[in-house]
Amino acid sequence: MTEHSKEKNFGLDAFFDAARNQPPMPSGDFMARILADAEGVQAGFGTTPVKTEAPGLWASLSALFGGIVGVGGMATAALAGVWIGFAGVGGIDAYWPGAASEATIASVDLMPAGTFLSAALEGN
Amino acid sequence: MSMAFDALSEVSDEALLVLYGNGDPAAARALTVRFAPLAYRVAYRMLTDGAEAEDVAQEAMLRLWKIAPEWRNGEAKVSTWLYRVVTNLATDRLRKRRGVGLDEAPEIEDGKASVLEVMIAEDRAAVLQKALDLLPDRQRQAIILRHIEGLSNPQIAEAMEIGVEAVESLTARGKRGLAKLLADQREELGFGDD
Repeated sequence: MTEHSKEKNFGLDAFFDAARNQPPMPSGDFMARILADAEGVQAGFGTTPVKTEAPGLWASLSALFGGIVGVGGMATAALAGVWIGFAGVGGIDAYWPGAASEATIASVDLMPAGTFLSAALEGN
Repeated sequence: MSMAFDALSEVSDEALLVLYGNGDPAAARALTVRFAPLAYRVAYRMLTDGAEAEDVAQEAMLRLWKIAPEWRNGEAKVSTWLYRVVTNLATDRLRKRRGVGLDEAPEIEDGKASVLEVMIAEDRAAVLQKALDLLPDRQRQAIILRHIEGLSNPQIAEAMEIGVEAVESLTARGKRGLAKLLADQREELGFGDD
């Protein structure tokens, strides 16, 4: 016994059967419009336009120097340079004790050959 | 990759919609053939007007096309979704046409049956369509889905976004209303008791 037959249908079954057997049919033009809509919408899938404007000056510089971190480092170094320029080189002694008073660039021994190198050669 | 149209006849509605969303042109044709007549048929039965039924069915199908890329297989039945959209759009049209809300829709009055006298020579389907046109919107919607489209009560509940008991109540009241509308015509039309 079907679910329908359990219900009280007031003698309407013949009317419902007739309606099912004579469904309103859409026209060919309507079907063509629906298909055209389907193809039109489908053509837009996955083709969202990509923004292709040229990057601005800030974006270009930022990229050139390694993004925001690189640019931040550059800015810090620039500010430090400006500060040293105003403060004068004499003041550097306070941060590098002895550098200016006890040695000159010419007297710096970059390769103390008489000690470490000769000891290494002797070891062979 | 596109599948041949014939090969899609065994594919489920939901899988077909996913194929469509993936760009398969054959799926567009198969879905149109499968669902456009359904959308039109239900819209016509709700509105009893071919031009309005086409508008509603086209709008419902357009919504189906647009939602396809977001459709997840197994989430819902395409047919149930479409029944809901079509009947809701048609109900909106009926409200505008009448200028009243659903709660204000008039119940059947005895005098309404007399309008069927002009349809004595028409067949059962046409008479039923005219009688459906006189039912309150929600009753008509439930009757169409239950007794003409053949949906189960739980499917109708999902499509109408109401409970199963409410569906049963609507269909029972709808059938009583139809019976009242058709009673006076039954003998004159020669249908007798079925």
